Amino acid sequence: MFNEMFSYAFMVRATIAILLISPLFGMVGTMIVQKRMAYFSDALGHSALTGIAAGVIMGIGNTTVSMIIFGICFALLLNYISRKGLSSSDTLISVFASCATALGLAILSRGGSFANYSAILVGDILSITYTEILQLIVLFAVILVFWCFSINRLTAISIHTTLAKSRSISVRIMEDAFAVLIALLVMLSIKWVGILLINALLILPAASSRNISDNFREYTYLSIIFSIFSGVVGLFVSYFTDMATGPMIVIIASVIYFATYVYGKDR
Amino acid sequence: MKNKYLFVLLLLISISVVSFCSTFFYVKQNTKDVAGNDMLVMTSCNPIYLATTGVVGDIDGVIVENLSQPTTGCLHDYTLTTEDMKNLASADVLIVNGGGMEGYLDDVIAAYPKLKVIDTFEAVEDTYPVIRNSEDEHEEEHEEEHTHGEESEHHHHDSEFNSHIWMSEEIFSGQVLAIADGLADIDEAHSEAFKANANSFNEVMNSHIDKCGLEDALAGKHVAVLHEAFAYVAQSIGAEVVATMDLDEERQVSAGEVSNFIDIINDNDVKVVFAEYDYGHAMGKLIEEQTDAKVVYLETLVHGTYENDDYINVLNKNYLAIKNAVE
Repeated sequence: MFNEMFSYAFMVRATIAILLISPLFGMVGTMIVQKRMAYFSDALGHSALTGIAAGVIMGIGNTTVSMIIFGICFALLLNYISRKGLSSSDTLISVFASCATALGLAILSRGGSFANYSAILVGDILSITYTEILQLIVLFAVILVFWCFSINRLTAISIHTTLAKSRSISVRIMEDAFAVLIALLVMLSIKWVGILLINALLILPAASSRNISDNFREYTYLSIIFSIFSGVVGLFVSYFTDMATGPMIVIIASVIYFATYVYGKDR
Repeated sequence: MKNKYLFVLLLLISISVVSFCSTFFYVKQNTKDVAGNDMLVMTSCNPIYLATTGVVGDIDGVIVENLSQPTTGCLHDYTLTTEDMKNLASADVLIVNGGGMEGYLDDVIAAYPKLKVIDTFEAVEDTYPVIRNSEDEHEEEHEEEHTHGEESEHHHHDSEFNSHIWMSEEIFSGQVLAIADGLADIDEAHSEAFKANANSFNEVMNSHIDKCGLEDALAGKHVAVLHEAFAYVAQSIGAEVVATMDLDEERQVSAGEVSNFIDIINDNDVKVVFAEYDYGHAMGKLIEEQTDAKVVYLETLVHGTYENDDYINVLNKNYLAIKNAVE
């Protein structure tokens, strides 16, 4: 059964991609849940459409580049306006996300041709190429290095910004750097995961882990384990049952979430 | 603490076991046996599947499988499933309609460079009356192609021809012969049988398709279409298409486009409009309200039942529907 599965090059590539993306989602997801940024990452995912639209207008052949540039600008702008405190952050994120999605849809549906881009809504991990896997390896290395150097600072900020400032941590720079990191992760993996599901993959493993963890280390490790497990089992089931991979991974991750929720509640 | 880790371990093991067992039974129920020496012929869509099964007939050692088809929507936007990828990896030949209809074809050729591809459009485009898209339309699409960059290659409108060629029984018979020639080159042992089957398939098709006298009733008359495929229906009965609006699930039409379409229908005294029910129904009602034209809902053969006489039945049904509307 497994021999047959790995005799196809596309399955080998998809498995490598899953093994690269899922631990990143598990890791970064912990901080997103901790800092209550779930809505922020969702908005970033939706802004991918506008990134593609910007690329189309400017005639950029590789829309991944325009998506990354737009995603980073979008994340930094959101952080900047949130800091100004003119309105509550959920309202601001909602306004920005709706505006970006509408702009992207308006441009891409020009002449009734949105069908060309609808694939990005669900994503397709089976069509990933080795060059794109290389991009994911670089992203994996970047996030790992950032994580090792910044995890304590980010944790301090997530507990309380005043505590972080008292320890001479530059809150603003760290928050901006983390936002850029999320933007990079979301934009580089959105083609394989899909706009509709990317946030579920970021949030579910971390939220499941949070249900049963007692300390931050356990929280991170369990989140990574849940994420890799959902990714691998989801890919396996989707391969044999001929269903889309992204939704199958989310279904497995959801089962884990509900089980940990029940267990965590009764502890 | 220990209980928690035991819980996580048990949880992951039970999910794995449930997933493995259910997948195992699913696979067992759905696996079809293909003998090692059999030639596996994959087809890209229902009309090509029907033509290929006609050509292969009951020849031993040749198995025809169709790529899993979308149950709704348009062929052009179809993306391959894992099942398709597996089938293509073990297939000997892929037969396609061509002409830009299969947006995924470039990816397939790149992924399986050894897979032989029979492109039926390429085989018939010079010898059969393939319809060329209008200059304006083509130029517009070309412009769009430049703006869209890499994504544009997957859009069927990139083609300068209308690639729904199977809707014309004349061109379809050419596709059947092209498939027979292509298969004969690959499997020389059965080359005569393929050609004989193709000829008898075409004979049966020609003798059973009944155009209900529409060649006389609508010859030279103006018609309009709400789906590109029906331009070939009009061609088969000798009618002239004066307006085309290609509707599918993702197409949003502007008010200007609709009013322009209605004006053309009124100005050219169009009596009948061909449409597909799923995507043309709302527009069809509007057209019937605003003009004297009758809207006839026809089938495109994309979502079929895979039965041998499907092609003849659907075309006959289409012609009968037009005849009833005209009367």
